[in-house]
Amino acid sequence: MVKKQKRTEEKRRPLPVNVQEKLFLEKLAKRRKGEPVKLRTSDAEQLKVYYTMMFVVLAIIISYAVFIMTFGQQNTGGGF
Amino acid sequence: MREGYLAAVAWSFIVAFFNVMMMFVGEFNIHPILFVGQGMLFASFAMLVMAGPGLLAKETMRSLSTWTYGVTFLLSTACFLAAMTYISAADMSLLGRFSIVFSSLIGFVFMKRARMEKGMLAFVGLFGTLVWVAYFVPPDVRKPVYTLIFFFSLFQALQAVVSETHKTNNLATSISQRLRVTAFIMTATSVTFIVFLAISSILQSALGIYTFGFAPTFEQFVNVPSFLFAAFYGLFGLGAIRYFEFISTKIIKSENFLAITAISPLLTFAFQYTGSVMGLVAAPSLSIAYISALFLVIIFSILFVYFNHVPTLDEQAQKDMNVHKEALKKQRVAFLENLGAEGQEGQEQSPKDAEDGEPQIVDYNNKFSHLPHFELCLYNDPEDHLIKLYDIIACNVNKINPDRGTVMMFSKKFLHPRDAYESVLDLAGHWGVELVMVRDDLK
Repeated sequence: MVKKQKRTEEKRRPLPVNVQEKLFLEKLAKRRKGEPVKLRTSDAEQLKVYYTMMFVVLAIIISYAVFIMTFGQQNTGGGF
Repeated sequence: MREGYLAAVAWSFIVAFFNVMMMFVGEFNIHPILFVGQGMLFASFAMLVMAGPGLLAKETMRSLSTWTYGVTFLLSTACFLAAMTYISAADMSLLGRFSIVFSSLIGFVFMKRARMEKGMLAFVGLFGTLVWVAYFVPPDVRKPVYTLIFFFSLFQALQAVVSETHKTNNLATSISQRLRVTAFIMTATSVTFIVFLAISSILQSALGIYTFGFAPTFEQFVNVPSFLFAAFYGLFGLGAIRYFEFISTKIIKSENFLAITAISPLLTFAFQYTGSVMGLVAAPSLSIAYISALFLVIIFSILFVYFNHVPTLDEQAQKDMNVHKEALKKQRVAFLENLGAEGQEGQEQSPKDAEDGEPQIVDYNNKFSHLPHFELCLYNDPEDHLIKLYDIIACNVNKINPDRGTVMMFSKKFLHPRDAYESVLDLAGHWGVELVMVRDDLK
């Protein structure tokens, strides 16, 4: 009962963001060194969102550049 | 501290340079909204790389404020760009200060900030000088310029309000977190806008739908200079501006940052003048009245920032702590007595119980020599800064105890001890106390 109460309390009051991030980055650093560290589901999701966004931005920049190279022109007339 | 001031100066130089560059790129048939969207796309990439992976990504993307902030940022910058087809970068840099007036009014009316009376003189002075600067705008372009400045200021003010109330943005404290949150905001907005503008421009060209100039033409959408200048602006302008802003506000606080960056209109004027000598852009006005207005705007902006500074929670906590520390200096012994009494399960007499009501003078070393270690008591208080207040006083006690170079910290009477971990680390660093052990459940 006490354990359950403690767990509920922990769930309600998470660690400060800075501490969470520090722990998260430590885990990432360990993973990069090849140590077998398991990420929490929420941490893995954060990582997924980050790399997805990075991929989306790069994909749009590259495809836009290709589109401009195909259809673009050196237009220097007029104003806005 | 010096790095914070240097970052603010660097911010002003970059902003001034890009103000003039925007005036120059206006000659290349660039669509303002598209240009800003492209710039934001590159900036978001630069900032994502600078920030690296971490927390707050998911929360930022799910927040409605993220989208509101992004849209207001994009529209305000687009208005700024569009206004510069009519007036010079130096003029726009000055007239852009109307956003301070709007922000203050919104803060006063909607956010219940009763601070206007303090800086009323500076407010009136700034407003009067800006109206005077607005009078310098040529009569034939006054209508579009005033409209664009109105919307620019409105969007800027809304942006500030959204930024203040953005939950995830307020959670982000470190530079990398703030960069990451901003990068996600920019990514979300720029990707949406570019896709939307691509569809609009194709529809406009193919079906001849009139979009009131909101959507770019197909020629503008595939304009090479627009893409290249936006890449330069995004990677070296927007990204660097945010980076220096975060560094500076973290080190020297936003009040000093805003005061230093008030010089940006002067730097814009200098850059524009240099650009005009090189034949790249039109020369700014060199009349005595204009230059006087320039200096007046800078002076009133600095005064206004100082008079209307709203302290952050940290600054307020620090202020409260200083006040309480001064007040408690005389009662330090009394506080120690209480602390000692708790440490010894009530064996010591509390000063509150003392007959004369005066705090007792005790020898600190003897007082705690019987204890195996010093106990840091963290009080469960709904106001976070009050917890810090007690922490620092307690640590101060330890600091004046020369026999103890280190301190072992325990959490006591606290609802959730893990909340104290960050605070304990901060104060240990603040007082130069070596943290030898923290109870496992605090980590």
